Formats: sequence, structure tokens, C-alpha cells
Amino acid sequence: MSISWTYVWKIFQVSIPYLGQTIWIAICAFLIAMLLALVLSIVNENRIPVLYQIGKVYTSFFRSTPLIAQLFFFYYGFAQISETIRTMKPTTALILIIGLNQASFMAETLRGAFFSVDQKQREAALACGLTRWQMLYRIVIPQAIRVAVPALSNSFVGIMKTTSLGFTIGAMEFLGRAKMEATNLVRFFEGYLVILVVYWIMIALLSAVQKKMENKLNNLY
Amino acid sequence: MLKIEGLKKQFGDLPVLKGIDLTVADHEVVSIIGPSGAGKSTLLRCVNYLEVPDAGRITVDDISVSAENHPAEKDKLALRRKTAMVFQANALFANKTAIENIMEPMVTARKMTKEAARAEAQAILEKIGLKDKADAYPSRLSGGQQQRVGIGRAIACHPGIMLLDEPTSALDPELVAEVLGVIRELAEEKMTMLVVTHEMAFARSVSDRIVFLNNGIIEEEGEPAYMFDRCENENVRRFLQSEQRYV
Repeated sequence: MSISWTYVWKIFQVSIPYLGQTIWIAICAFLIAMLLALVLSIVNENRIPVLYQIGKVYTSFFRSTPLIAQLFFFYYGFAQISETIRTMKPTTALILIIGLNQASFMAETLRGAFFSVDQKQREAALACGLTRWQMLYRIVIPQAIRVAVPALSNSFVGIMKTTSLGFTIGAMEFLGRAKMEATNLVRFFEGYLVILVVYWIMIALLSAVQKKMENKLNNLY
Repeated sequence: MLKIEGLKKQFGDLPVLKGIDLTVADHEVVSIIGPSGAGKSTLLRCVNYLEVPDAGRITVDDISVSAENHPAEKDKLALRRKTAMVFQANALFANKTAIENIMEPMVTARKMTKEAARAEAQAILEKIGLKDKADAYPSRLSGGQQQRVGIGRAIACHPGIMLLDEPTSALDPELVAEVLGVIRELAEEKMTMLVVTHEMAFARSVSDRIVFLNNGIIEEEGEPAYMFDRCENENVRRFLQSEQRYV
């Protein structure tokens, strides 16, 4: 069998509408991860009892086990015992697990960014008569955001690619749809070529945007 | 006005301040000198509760805080709003321009309007000789310029006493003079100051009183003429000798 560009086009046409789903899943997962990472950072920073211990176990678990295992354990495993999860849409489960998984890594990024701001600036803010909250809000957080952006963008790119695991639990997004079509037509070269090229372009564009944003932030002050 | 009574501080098992009593009257300039590790910076940092004393009372104008009462955040805040500190280095807000750094205590702590703060900040910039650097970020300023902005920011706090923690120790020698000049001017304008410094000639010419801190206690204090020329304390003499070597 030789390579057919007609089939490349056909598979592309059929699966490209689902790229929106991929992007949607990635954005939702990222937002959940961000929120959770913020909570985790605050818990860790202030050593809030009970939550701190839970946080440590949670982080260890999600960092040390493969995402696909976490996904299956949740979607198939818990379905055995929970009605809610049994009736959950696969896309929802995917967003949730990717979010939980990434939050533990992003919390590390936030911690690093937070501490990159010199202790002396914090002391100076307090010495000037600012409250702790004013110090954080006006001095530390603006500078921490600047440091966190590159690593967080990388997290987002990672999440974009991770959505591709969705097909394993039946979540329909771009890779899943293209793979399905490739299997139906028995055109694997064409199918996976489409998948790789689309991801390549999409993430190259994302990276270009990221670079622009970083340049702008670096030259701010 | 500043009054320190019975100040004690230890880090773990190491006692650093073993009972300090010190008063700085309004418009007085007091310099603290002494060997490294004597507790000079710790003493200064206890005044505005950047270090929490183990014992003792700190009084600045009408605010008085006692360590034994375990002061709350709002007590520390009240104390810090009566004082201002100039650090050795790296203490400017990196995300704010020079003028914004000076405006920060006015706008945030003193709750002034932006316009009023900007006007006063501009006057301060002029006074410290950095009028044309108003919109420069700290990363674009030399060490000496940064220290001067730091002093400007401390002035903007309208403090009852200004605390200077070795303001020129981190500077290249050629930048030291411009900063000392600003501090000297402040002294002439009767700003109440407590200065930790190794610049002996400066301390001598600018201070009303010099305090020698050694081993966690004030071993000697007195007017510059007495301390430098007539003091009989061996430790003081030895210390001043060692400092002279580098002049």
C-alpha cells in the first residue's frame, strides 16, 4: 500500500473539528490545576494542620504514579463503587484527573516563583509600614507572576499534549477522532501523520506566543 | 524619639543581645559601632520588630511595645509606621520605579492621594539629587543611586526615627560619598537617626553620640570626641585602631 494524500485530507477533515475539544479540555484542566496549585501553595507555606498532611500525600501520589494509571483507577476503578463516577462523562473525568495531576507540579512552580522575590524586599515593605497583605499584593505577587509565567506556559503545553490520552476512556477529542478514522480506513501512516502535524503546528504557535509574552515580561523592569 | 529598655535577643542557644538600654532623643544622631557579630544589626532590626525580641520594651514617640506582652501584628504595624529603615542593599521594590518606590509608603501606609504623594516624592528626589531618575527602575540604577532612593523612601515614611543598617557597606568605594552626603544633609536637617556603620570618619563628624556595642552589651557610649580620642576602654581602642587601618 502506498501513501494516499486523499486519505490524509479525509482524516484531517473529519478530526479537525474536534481540535476545539482538545483545546477546551486543556484550558479547563489548566484552570483547575492553577486553582488547586494556589490552594496547595498557601497550605504548604502556612503549614495549615491536617490540610498540610493531606497535601503531602496528594502530591506524592500524583507525582509518583503514571497519569494513565490514575485515569483508569478513577474512571474504571471508582466506577465500580460510585454511581456518580459511573455516570460521569469521560471528558469530565479527563479534565479532573489531568487537573489533579498537574496541580502538584504547578504548586512547585508557584513556590519557586514566590521565593524568587528577595527577602530584603519583603522586609523593606514591612519596614515601610505595609501590612503583610499589602506586601504580598503590591510587591511580591506581581514579581512572582513574572517568574512563574514561563514554567506555567510549559505546564500548559504539557497539558495540551496529555489530553491525547482521552481516547483510552472514550473521551472524544482530536487525537481520539483521528485515530478512530485511521483505524476504520486502515490508513495508519496518513492518520498519525495528520495527528503529529496538527499538534506540531498548534504547539509551535503556542510556543511563539509564549516567547513573545516572556520577552515582554522580561523587559518590563 | 526612641527608647530601648532591657532589650534581649537570642538565636537558638546563642545570646546576641544581653540587655540593651538606649535612648535617642528627638533630632539626635546616634551611631552604633562595634565588631562584627556584636549584634548591631540585630539591635536595629528589633526596633522595628523585623526581629522579635525575647525581652524588653521599645518606645517610639507615643507607641510603646513590650516583648513580654507578645505584641500582635497591629502593634508591630503601629511601631513600623513610626520608623523607617534603610537597608544595606537590594531592598528597593524591583517592580516599581524610583519615584514609585518613594511614593509607596505615602500611598499605602500613609494613605495619601497619588497626586499629593507624587508631588512630595518629586521634592524628595530633587533633594537626593535624582530628579532625572524618577522613572528609572532599580535595575537601571547604580548601587549608590539605589541607596539614595532607599533613603528617599525612608524619608517618605515621615518616621519618628530613621534606622540605617550599614547603608554604605555594600557599595563600591567611589559611590560611598554620594550616599554619606545625603545622610549628612538629613542630619543637618535634624532628622532623628540611629545608624549602624563602619565609616568611622563619617560617624565621628555626623553623630551627636557614639555607642560601642560589643558581645551583646553597650560597653561604652559618649560624644565622638570622647570615644575617639579619650576613651580608655581597651576594646574600644583596639576596635578603632583596626578600623583606622583601612582609612
